[in-house]
Amino acid sequence: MLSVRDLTVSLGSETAPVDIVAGVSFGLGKGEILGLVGESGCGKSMTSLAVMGLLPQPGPRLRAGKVLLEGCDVTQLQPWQRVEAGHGRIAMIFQEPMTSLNPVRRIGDQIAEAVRVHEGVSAAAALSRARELLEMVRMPDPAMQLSAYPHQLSGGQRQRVMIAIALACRPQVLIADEPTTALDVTIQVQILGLLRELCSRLEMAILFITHDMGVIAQLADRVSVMYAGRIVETAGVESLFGRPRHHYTRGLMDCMPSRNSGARRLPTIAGQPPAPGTVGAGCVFASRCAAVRESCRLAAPPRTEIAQGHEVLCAFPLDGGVAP
Amino acid sequence: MWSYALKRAGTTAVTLLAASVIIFAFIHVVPGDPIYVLLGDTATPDQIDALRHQLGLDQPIIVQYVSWMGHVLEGDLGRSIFFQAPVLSVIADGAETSILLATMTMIWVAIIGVPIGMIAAVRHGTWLDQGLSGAAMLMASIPTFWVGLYLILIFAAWLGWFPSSGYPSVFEGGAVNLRYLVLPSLALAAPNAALILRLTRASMLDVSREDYVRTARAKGIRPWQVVRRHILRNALLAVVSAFGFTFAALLSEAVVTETVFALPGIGRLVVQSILRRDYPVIQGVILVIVVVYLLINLIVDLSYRLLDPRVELQ
Amino acid sequence: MSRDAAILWLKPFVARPIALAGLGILLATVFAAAFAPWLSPYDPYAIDPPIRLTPPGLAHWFGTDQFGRDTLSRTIHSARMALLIGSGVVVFALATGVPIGVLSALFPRLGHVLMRMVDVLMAFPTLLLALGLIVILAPSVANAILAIGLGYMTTTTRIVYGLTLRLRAETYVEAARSMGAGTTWLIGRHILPNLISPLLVQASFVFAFAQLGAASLDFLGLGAPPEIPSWGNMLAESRTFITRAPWLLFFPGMMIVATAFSLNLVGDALRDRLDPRFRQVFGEKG
Repeated sequence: MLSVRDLTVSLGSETAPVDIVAGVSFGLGKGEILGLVGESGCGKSMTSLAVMGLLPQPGPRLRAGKVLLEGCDVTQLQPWQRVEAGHGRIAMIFQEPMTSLNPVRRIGDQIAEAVRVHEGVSAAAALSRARELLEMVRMPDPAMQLSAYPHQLSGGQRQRVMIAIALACRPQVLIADEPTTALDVTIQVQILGLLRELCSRLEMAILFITHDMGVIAQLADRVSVMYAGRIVETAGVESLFGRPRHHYTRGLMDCMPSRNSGARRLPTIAGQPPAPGTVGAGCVFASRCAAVRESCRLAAPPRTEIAQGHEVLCAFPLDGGVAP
Repeated sequence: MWSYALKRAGTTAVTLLAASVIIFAFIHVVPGDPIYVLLGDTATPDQIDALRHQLGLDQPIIVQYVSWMGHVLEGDLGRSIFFQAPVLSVIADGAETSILLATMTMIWVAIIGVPIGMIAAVRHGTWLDQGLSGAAMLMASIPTFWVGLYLILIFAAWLGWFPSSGYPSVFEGGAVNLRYLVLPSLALAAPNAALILRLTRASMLDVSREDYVRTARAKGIRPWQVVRRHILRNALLAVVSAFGFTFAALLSEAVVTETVFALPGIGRLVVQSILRRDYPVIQGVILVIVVVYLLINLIVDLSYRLLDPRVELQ
Repeated sequence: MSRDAAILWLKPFVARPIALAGLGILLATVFAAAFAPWLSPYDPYAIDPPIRLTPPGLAHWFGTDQFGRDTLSRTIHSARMALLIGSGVVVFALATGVPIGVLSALFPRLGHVLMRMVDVLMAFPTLLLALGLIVILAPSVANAILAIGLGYMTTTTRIVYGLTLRLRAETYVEAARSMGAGTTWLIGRHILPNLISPLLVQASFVFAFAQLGAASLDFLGLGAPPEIPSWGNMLAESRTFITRAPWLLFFPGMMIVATAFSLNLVGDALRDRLDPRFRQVFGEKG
């Protein structure tokens, strides 16, 4: 459905680029939820914006790599160019539902606008479709809400509106960039449930971006762990949580609070991720890795499929005991 | 909204009251006794006392202020020493020129400043943007009277396309007399168009960085439609309110321009009254301009809020 | 100033050649003002009626005026008046605006009253305020500084007030206060040092607008006495001879534009290197 190959996003000049996303590849099948997880600043949002064709300008640019939607090359295309080319069925929702809606336009207008771009129907038809979409995202009293302004809605309701806007293009792929981070926990659960439901009902693939391992464990089918602009490990959700192979992934899991961790102080991964542009020839995680060896600092590790559907970017992967 | 409007009107009234004290005090701190100014050096002590009593100048200062204020509220701003006429009618004579000049200037400002500011914002970061922004800053650094003198030199003296000075009323000579205001309004428009240009550009850039603009782009709307439907409307809210302030400020900024072009407006009236020591006229003009300035501010502020749906709840 | 600090300040100019040019023009103006008697080919006051209104030529590069005075010499000497008025207005605006703004922000009850008074002064358009003051004080150089300065005192106060409020809300300032830091210490250690860069920006803009304001007053005959060389005075005199001697109009005007433009460029470059939270305190009018 969606295939991303060697995506590289860079800042700086053509001659001395600084890669903030370096050779990211992943695939997304029909109805599948892929979690993209990593610390803030690891390049996960840049990856999603690059796939979507929404990199801020002036700013980082997509320097290399391919984005294929159902086998068609949509690399470098902005959303409107994709719509023109007939590959419009990819949508995105964002972290901040507060600021992601235009404050001076009615909810109905904002959804109908998206409907008209993709379906070329009349204004009235678009508005009634907007109502259906609000029903689909379980918005209470959808007919009323069409004429509401964003400030009259709660945070969770606004995120539902954002999802309705995304659904207007009948997406095959939905990119969700930390859609629940700004919401209360109870609302978060509802929105995650809604996404899960829409995913199976509409057979829509979701690329779910978050820093929250807990959310990933609940929602994703497969997980890619990102560190310093690279995907360091990809696996099915059980395999990854059951048997992490990369030292970074393992570190992340040790940092997760669990019900029986009690008052024990949570461990942290020592050090800071390398600043973009300071990565040398060796492994990006070498400076923080507990099991680092001399060779790790000299040569980049290979990407190996260590088990069926389980890829890891490490020369000396863990053999994988069960995580505590 | 109503409670806000009331509160805002209340602040304006308080500010106006405080400003009126300053304006009232003005006539008492200018050099020379107003009586001598009114009567000249040759008055006898009896005449002076009589006038002092007649004008209430022997009363305590508070009483004087209250009675002055009472007259002002009735529309009596005193008498001009030079014209021997009510100050209000002297000001009214200049109002036509000043208002027409300000209006014409605002038209230039709107048709020069807003579109060019939009172009600069849409082409943000390119050489075109840098060139236009630099040109705007240059325009804001040129004295209006210098522009005015050059406009006179080129378009009046050399080419003879427009008259160089004066303004006969449109009510007597018809709309064709507006040509007298073309050069002065252009001179006055230059720095103000530059400010509006920079403001338009800055507020469009601000808005285009908003998350909701990214949402609009994510929907697949074409770039110029994104500008038109999502950036422009929100950005112009700020620009339109700046229009109100600029118009109000123009009434007094025109002082120098009206002098250069010998226009019979309020601005030149101020300068001439200063040279003639016609203090009641200066006081009256300051009062009128401050009142207009504050009222326009109030109206702009309230209508700005009316246009913003977020205010409904408050 | 340490070398690193110097580099930090020069950075915005190196990145923008046009801002560097602005800085160059300003330094040239200061140079012209400082060495005016040596740079001027003639005495700026020397009257020579036979050569009145001579167009620019080898003997008089910028021509002569209606009294036969050398325009180049008068233009150079005028730089002194420009710098005097500009720095006078800046000093007045900062000397009044900074204390009022800082104290208003630190003591909200006092601030409420003081800022309301600033609001009242702001109801008077700048030029009108200046004219009113000139009427009371009579035209002179010192009074021109005062009259123009009063208008920029209000904007400076507003900006300082806004900045100090932001600084006061900073965590480290809150922390210092909660540990019992005295007001004087707070102002000296935390507030004033952080105000230096934004105030430098404000100073360049005020300096620029003071040039234009002073030129307007001179032009109206309400600024510096007419015999004193100043660009505004020169323009006022040139008015009568606008068609016969256009060079009288050109050179002083160009100097006003050059200094005001340079100051705006410098202010703009400095503003861009300000902390983004402080940048928004500056409106478009500076």
